[in-house]
Amino acid sequence: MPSDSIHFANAPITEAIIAIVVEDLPDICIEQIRQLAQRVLSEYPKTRDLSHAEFVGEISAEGPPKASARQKALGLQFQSEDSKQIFQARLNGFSFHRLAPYDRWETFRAEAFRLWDLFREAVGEVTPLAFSVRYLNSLVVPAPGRLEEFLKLYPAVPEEWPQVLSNYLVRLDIPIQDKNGYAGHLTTVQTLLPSPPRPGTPSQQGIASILLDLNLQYPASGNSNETLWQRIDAARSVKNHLFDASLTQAMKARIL
Amino acid sequence: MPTLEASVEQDDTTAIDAVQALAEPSSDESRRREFFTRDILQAFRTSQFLQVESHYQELRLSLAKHSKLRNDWNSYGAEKPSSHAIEAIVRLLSRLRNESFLPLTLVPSAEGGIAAYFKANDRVSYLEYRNSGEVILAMYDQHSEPDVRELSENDADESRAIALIREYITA
Repeated sequence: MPSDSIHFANAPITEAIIAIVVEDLPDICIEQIRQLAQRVLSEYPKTRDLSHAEFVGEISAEGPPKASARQKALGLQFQSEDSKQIFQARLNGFSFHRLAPYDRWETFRAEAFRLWDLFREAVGEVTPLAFSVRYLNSLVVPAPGRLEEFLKLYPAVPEEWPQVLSNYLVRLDIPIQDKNGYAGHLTTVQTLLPSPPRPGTPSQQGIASILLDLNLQYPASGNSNETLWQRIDAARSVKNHLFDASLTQAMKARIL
Repeated sequence: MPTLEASVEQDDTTAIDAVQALAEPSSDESRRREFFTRDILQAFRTSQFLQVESHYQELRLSLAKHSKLRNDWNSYGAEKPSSHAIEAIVRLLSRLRNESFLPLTLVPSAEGGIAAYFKANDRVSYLEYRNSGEVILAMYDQHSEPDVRELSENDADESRAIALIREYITA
């Protein structure tokens, strides 16, 4: 089955994110971002200010130390009524987040694209610098259990060491390319999610939830809007391929 | 090849045992959990899911500390939060975690009990579970009279309280 058409009935996706970094917009655009709230009020009735805090300390031989702090408005976060769908419109970029339950790429991507267009309409010309496609998965596995039965990516522990893990954290930064040869960067993190598991998991006894975070980032300077979204689609194919390759058949059977 | 150890929280562990295990300063398990919680907190700020997860763990850690309070903890004769009040807050947190709507903080009550505080801009709301079994919902800001209601400890009232808080805080 081609990676692009994978659809797991019990997909373990806890959050999917499309994020676009843009060249810094002038501060005045904050007001235009605020006006966006009215346009999305029915779907995203909740808003939250995003700000950036700066703390500056100065020590010199001549006088006493000085310290100052300032807070700068960065943008707004918009949330759906159930808080499962979120987008951020910021002076330095845009991101769209879908929390579980996740439906499918087509609907997720379409909503991100619609909101991105609204963002551009609100603030005017933007210059994309980079984008990322990120999927966070919560894989529920038996515990005690052997990691390699479910995952192809796991920490290798020398045979002479104790073979029981209380927790682990794997972070890998890997250069990647999409099908058109565009270079990017994969940051993947795998760790145990803290207990207790979320309500709704099959059983709270004898299981563990493993976070598999796949974050694909690509530079996008000079890309037209059309090219940018073609590349976002291509990044999704890379993500599918990586996700598929990181699971064993036993794990896939658990989420089919 | 490495094997995952058995999940920490077993069915025969009460909520009180679980939160006290988190608070025990000499507990290696507590330190390990804290390390991973903090790592998640610092490293993954851009994910809403992980922000909720890490905040949930912070609230559980603070609850663990509150569960170890002694009577007269505030030197004005306040009772320590009862196991019943703590179990009620554990259930509330679990429910709110799933709804991605967690309180800002948990505060022991001078009346005896424990309260979950929510805050947005100048609006504050709290849901307080008292040792006496009373459940108090309060919502207030600087511009209007406080709205205080006494509720019962059941699913329907809890759902109603969450809906009211959500509506008030996010208005």
